[in-house]
Amino acid sequence: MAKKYYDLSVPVGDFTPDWMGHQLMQDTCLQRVHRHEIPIEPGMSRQVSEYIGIWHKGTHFDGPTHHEEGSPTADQIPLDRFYGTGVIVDFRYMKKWDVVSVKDLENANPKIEEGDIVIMNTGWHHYWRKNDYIYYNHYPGLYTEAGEWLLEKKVRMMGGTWGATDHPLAHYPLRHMYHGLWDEYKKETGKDADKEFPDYEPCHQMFSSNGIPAFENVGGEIDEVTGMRCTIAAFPFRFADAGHMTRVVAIVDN
Amino acid sequence: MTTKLHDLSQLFTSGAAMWPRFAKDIQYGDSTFIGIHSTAWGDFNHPGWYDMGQGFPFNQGYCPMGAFKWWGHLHAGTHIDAPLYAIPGGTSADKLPLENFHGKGVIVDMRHKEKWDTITAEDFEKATPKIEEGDFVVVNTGWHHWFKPLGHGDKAYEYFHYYPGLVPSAAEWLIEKKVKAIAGTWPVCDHSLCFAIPKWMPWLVNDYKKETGKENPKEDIEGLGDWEECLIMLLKAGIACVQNAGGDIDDVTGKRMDFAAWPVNMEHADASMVRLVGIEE
Repeated sequence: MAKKYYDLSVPVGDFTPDWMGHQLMQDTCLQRVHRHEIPIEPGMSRQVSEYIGIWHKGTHFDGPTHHEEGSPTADQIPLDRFYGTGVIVDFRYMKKWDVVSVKDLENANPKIEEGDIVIMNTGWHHYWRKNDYIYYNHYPGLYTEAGEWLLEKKVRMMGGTWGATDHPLAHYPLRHMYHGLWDEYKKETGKDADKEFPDYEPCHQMFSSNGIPAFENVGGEIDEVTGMRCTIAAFPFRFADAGHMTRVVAIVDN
Repeated sequence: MTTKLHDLSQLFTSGAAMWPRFAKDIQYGDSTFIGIHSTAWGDFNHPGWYDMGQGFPFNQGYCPMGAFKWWGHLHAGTHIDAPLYAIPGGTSADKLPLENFHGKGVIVDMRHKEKWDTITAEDFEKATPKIEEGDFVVVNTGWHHWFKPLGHGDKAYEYFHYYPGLVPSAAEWLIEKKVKAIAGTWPVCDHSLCFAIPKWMPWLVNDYKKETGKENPKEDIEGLGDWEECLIMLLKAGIACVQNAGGDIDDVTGKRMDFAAWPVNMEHADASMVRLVGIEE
């Protein structure tokens, strides 16, 4: 049986966008190092690039230690969590700052079954590397209720075409940490983001403490498989760390 | 239908074994790990972020954040080599087709091989179960037991300098068989002594001389290739090459199943760490 593979990950390299305002975060740099010294034949060389930067770039998942010191490292998450049947649901109708509701999840097409891998397509991956401000600050995202619903459904793994697993306004006390975005929200809606989103990263914490890998910055060829039920694989390399970039693949049997 | 997944990858952690020659560029002792950094959040826990005496949410039930940083090459732990590594102008890891890294295959048992033994075309021909056309071939040399992190003696020396590996005629056999991928419990598919070149690894040349009394392994090992000759042959033929396999491989050696080892989507990368997984339906 012929299989077709779809790449649901975004490329990582120099100029890969990342979260704003992180003072210690350094730009990713993929330094090319050529070696011309191998004395076998003239002109023979090797390229050995060096990656310099944080692992939580591009399409990646957050491991439990990303949030809780002393919790299991990423290599201790069972492989079963990263492979299985799943659905790629269409949330492309959502707009700036929409919050994924229980209703959105219940009416999702195809239906989300218990134990599924759930990948959510908000369409926001089209802003990746095109408009980093919109990409990281305006995406429709998850908040407490949706997270709890997915938890009840015992999802195996989840991911979305967004900058983070939680809604952009639900990461920290916004007025203190990111005044500009707090202002923007106030101006447009008249509301105080810190009152509307009092929980900080509820879904991050929920998923990570329940051993559910949550993938961020999903994208790539996702539009081609949106609305499908298929096999999804995202095996992370075996490092004892807090999560890292991973190839997310949809496998469709023809 | 239940699926059983077998982890055929080596655990990479602080102090994990690395190629000796890379010691020149990165700290071998500390490996390339910088360790756990609170890169994302550490600095925010600063008096400047307190507002009217209110503490940052670390002490309001919010958790500190740990994230790993990496400064080093991408040939660490279980990884694939992309053609770009050895072939100027070759394809980078992110541009290789995804189907090259997933498919039916077999784990063949080469654990009877000893130090500096060669793996030949005949070994592949006789392997059980039989290697079929288009297979994802995984070779268990038994050498993954020497893949030891620092602090466990100098055992990584055996891993990088004594492993049994391919000679070019074996690579030729794999290419003729049109295999999809070749993975092995070795630092690279080429025989360990192809690196015994005085300018490059003088200690290995000395080691060989001490043991055999001979200067050049090429003179007495039949068909021994040049520096990574097999790797280049295989990469040119579009065969995926997975190095440093290991993990639970001994539990499933001699079996047929599906395998997967997708590289990370990193631009211009000449290699990528991968999870090599055996998928048994």
